[in-house]
Formats: sequence, structure tokens, C-alpha cells
Amino acid sequence: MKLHSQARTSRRGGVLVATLVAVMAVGGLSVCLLELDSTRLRRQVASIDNKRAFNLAEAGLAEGRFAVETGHTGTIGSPEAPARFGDGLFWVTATEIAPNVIGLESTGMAGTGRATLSLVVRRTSRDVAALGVLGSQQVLLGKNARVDAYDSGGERGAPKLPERFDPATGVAVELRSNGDIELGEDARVFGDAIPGPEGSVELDDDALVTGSTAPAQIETQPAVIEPLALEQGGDLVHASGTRRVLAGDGKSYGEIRVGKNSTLVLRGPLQLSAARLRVQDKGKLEIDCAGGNVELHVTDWLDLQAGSQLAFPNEDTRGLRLLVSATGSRDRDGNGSIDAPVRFSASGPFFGSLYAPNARLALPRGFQLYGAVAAGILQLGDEAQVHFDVSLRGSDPTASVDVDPLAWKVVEIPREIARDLAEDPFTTLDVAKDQLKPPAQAYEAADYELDLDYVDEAGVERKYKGRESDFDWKRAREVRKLRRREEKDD
Amino acid sequence: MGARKRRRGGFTLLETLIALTVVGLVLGNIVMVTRSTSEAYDEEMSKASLELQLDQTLDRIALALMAASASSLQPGVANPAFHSTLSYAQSLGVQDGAVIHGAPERISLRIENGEVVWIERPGEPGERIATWTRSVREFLEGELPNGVDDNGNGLVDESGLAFVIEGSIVRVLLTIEREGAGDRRLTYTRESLVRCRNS
Repeated sequence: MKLHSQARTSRRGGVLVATLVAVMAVGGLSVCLLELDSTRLRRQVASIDNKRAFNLAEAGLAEGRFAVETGHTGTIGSPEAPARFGDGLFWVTATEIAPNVIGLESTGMAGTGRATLSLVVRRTSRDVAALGVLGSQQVLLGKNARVDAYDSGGERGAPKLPERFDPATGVAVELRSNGDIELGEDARVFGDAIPGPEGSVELDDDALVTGSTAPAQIETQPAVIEPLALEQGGDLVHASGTRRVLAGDGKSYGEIRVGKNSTLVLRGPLQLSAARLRVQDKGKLEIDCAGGNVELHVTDWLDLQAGSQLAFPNEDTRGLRLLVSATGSRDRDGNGSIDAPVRFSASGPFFGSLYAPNARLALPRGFQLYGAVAAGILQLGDEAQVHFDVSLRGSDPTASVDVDPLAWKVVEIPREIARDLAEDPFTTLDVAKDQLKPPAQAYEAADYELDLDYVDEAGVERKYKGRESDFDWKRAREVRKLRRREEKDD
Repeated sequence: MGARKRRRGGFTLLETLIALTVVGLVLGNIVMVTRSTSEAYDEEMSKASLELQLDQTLDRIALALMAASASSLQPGVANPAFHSTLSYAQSLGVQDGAVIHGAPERISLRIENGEVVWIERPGEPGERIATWTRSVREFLEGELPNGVDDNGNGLVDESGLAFVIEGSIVRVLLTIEREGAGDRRLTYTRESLVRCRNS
């Protein structure tokens, strides 16, 4: 009986051990398979999270760029208080690398994914006057030529400018070029002559620049001229020896030609476009801006011949915007000789903004220009004078600020967040998800000193000077001019 | 009494045969189920791994091309439709108003060993080469070298890695093929559109 009992006990134990071994083997196998599978799943999830983080960083860059476009610094949120976006977050740090060149660095976090992207943008105003006096390739001043500035304050009439410039009380001009600036004998620049980053200022005998001649850190990019959408008007040839007035709805002409002893009056408000604008010897082009301003686009040839005359009875620098997109020299009139895109041999003076970014603009000897001027090569003949009206800055109702991307790249993720790859980015940054703001409300509330010209929601142009924290950005539908003091006031 | 006890403790031949048959059937079933499950798992793993390899390679290519300047894109082969080699330069940032570019880089398909390689400073001193993926097919999935667009993607006889440049947008097509479980060939193809962020 005792033997029988021992045998039965032994058999039961053997089965138990065998079963346990089998269960452990199957269990071990299952754990291995599960582990493999979860590893694969984790890798897939990490890959998806990285893509989401990348997209968030891209969204941050887009938001930052929009912020710069609308006059903000471009900084959105911070690692301490990032902007919430869906299940993830981002923040953008903006740094002013050079005047109007801003570096944006955006970090996005989603799940275990992290990504940091960088974008450098350039802010360009479409306002001609924002460029100062510019020869984007070169500036050449002839003997006794003069470039200065004054503030008309929107008043009409040519000012009596002093012969001697007082840096303490006078308004200084900014004469710019992306290349060299050359001043002939006795030429004067009352203000700064700013050559390009690789350029220099060359002074002949007794030439003078009252301000700085330090080169610019970055090149100035003239804005592209956007064509006007106007009804086609064919050619307009006025050579009857009479006075003719163009007013009302503007048209897009093939050629506008003013013949000998004829006067063509452009009466504002008027928008006009012409492939060619030619004023022949003893012809006269008059700008009447008593009732409104005149905007004139010339796309192929501006030909103001010697002996022609420009007349501005209102003497208003806001009265005319002459935009010339013509470029390249060729035989334009079929006479076998090569014609430059701009011939400016008329007698003046000229009041307004003259913008020919792709052409050489040579003002004739003794010519006087009041307002603003920008050209590819700007040349002032002997004794010619350019008087820049600083009040024109921000006065162009159609001008807007463009933000052009310069350089995009992937950059290293900040070390402090790269170390902690927790599945919840809010935990990593130790922030409460519910308390974070959406991107549009997370723009930097900096306390800079603002000097701002803007258009409000009702379309009225307004100015603001003061602390940025006191300004409600919702009031600004469009920014015309923006100056932000570099130092932050705490 | 003792003999009776010994008889009860043993098995008859019939019992043993039946038990062996049942155990054999059960074991056979277990082996079959395990094997088929294992094969299915292996196949799924191979597919997943191949897909991951494909996605990671395309992501690498996409990131490289995103940071490239569109104006720097230079196809390696004078084929108007597609290229299996693409040279470019990435933007590093802005200095003194000018955009600075990095060293020339190239992404290329080495057909002879089915590799996609990334080369920094190709042909110059200090050249660096990294293999981004292997098992790339000579021709894209569904394509035969017959002068006809077999797979209907608008390209003729395109290679396993094909770049199509459309302005600042690059269309990237990639096919990877590998032996799967049971000597079956696993083939995966991906297509991606990448916009160069720098002009």
C-alpha cells in the first residue's frame, strides 16, 4: 500500500513539471514575440511622431513668417509657454540678424517626436520711399551734385534748402547702393552714403559725406513692380500742338507719345500704364494732382528726350508715382541705334517717386528731383540735386510689406528637450496643456518702442508711437511702416 | 496481491498505441500551427521591416532635398523624364546678405549592387559616401526595359530610384525588393513629392 502510494505521487509530479516546462516555453516564446512586435510598433509610432513634430515645426515657421509680415517680432511662445496646436506644441524664436533680416527658429513637439527648423526671411517694403535714395547696382554723383533730405510734412511746394547742412537740426538722407558710391568733385551727400556689403564710397576732391560711409550688412532688394490691371487703350499719340488732358478711368496704352509743342496733362486721381512713354523735343508732360494722385507704369521704354519738359504745378511729392519696369538695351525705335530702357533728358524739376529698379537712370545736368528715387544705376549729372522727402516713407497707400524666405534648414534640437523623450511633450516641458494659448494668441508681447504707420480695420491710415505692449495689434489691418527699437524695455 | 497491483500499473499495447497516436496527432497539429504562425509572422515582419526601410530612405531623401536650393539641382543623367542621380547644394544660412551653400552633395542609385548612396563632395578630396539603403530594384515596380511605360506612371523604363524635377518640386520614386518567407519576393514602392524650401 505504501509502495503504491509513492508511485502515484511520483507520476503526478512528473506531469506537473512537464506541463510547467511546456507552459514556460510557450510563455517565453509569446513574450519574445510580443516584445518584438511592440518594438516594431514603437519604431513606427516614433517615426509618425517625428513626422508630426516636423509638421508642427513647419507650422511654427509659417506662423512666424506671418507674424513678421503683420509687423510682429516673429517670436511665438517660448519653451516655458509654447503655443498649443492640436495634440502637440511649438514655439518660434525670432532674431534680427541684420536690418530687416530675421532668423526664425521653430521647435515642434508631438508625442516622442521633436524637430527644429530654421528659416531666414527678409522684410521688404513695396514702398519706394522706404528705400531712401537708391542705386541698387551703383550710384554716381557728378561734379557739384547734391543729395539731401527734407521733411515736407505732406505740404506742397519746393522748400528752400540751406546751403550748409546742420547735422544737429537737419534731416539726413540715406543714399544707398548694393555696389559702390562715387562722388565727383565737390559733390555733397547730407546724410549717410551706404555702399553694398562689398562696396565702398569713393570721394573726389572736396566731395563730402556728412554722415556715415560704412557699408551695409546686407543688400537692399528693390521690390518687384506689380502690373496694373487696366482696360486696353491702344496707342495715344498727341502731336497736334495743343493741350490735352487725360483724366478719369486709366487705361493700358501701347505707347503714349507727346509730340513737339504739345502738352499732355495727366490729371489725378489716375492710374495709367504704357509700354512706352515718349516725350519729344519741346513736348510737355504735366502732372496735375490737385484732385488726386497719379500712378504711371512704364513697362518697356521711358523716353524723355532732350528739350522735353516735365511740369508739376502742384509741387507735391505725393502727386506722382512713376514706376518703370523696363530693362535691357536694344533698338526700340527701329532707327538702327541701341536705346537704353530709360532716357531721362527732360527739364524739371520733378516732384514725386521715381522707381526704375532695372535701369540706369541718369538725371541731366542741373536737374532737381524732390521726392524719392530708386534705380538700377543712379547717376546724377553735374550740379544735379536729389532732395529726398522723408515724409513719403509709409505714405504709399498701395505699398505693403513682403516677407521673402532666404534660407531654410533643419537644425539641431535644443539639448534640454532632446534628452527627455517622454511620450507627452507637455510633461517634458512641465506645462499645463489647458493653459497654453493657440498660436495666434501666443505672439510675443514684447515691450519694444514702436513707430508704426498702419491701416485700421475701417481702411483709415493711422500712426502709432509708443510701447508695443500698449498697442492692440487687432487694430492694424495692414502695416505700412514699422520701426521697433532694438533694446527691450523691461 | 502484489501481482495484481503490477498488472494495474502498466498499459496494454493497444492503450499505448492509441496514446502514441493521439499524442502524435496533437504534436503534429501543434508543429503545423506553430510553423504556419511563424511563417506568417516572419512574412509580416519582413514586410514591416521593408516598409520601414523604404519610409526611412524616402524620409532621408526628402529631408536632404527640402534643404537644397532649387537652383542647385543638377540631374546626373541627360534623361529628360527622370534621373537616377541628383546633385544639389544645401543652404546653410545667410551671411552679409548672401545665402551660403554647403558642400555639393549627391544622391545616386548604384544599380550594380542595388544601393542608394549619399555622397558629399563627389569626386573631390574629402569625398564621403554613406549607403542609405540596399535591395533597390534595377527598375521600378511594374516596369520592364522595353521602351514602354508598363506601370503607367508617365515614365519609361525608369530605374528603381527615379527623380523627376518639376521646378522647385522633386518627385521621388523608389522600389525595394527582398526575399521574403517561403522564397517569395517582397516588393514595395513609394512615391513622394518634395518641395525645395530654398530657391
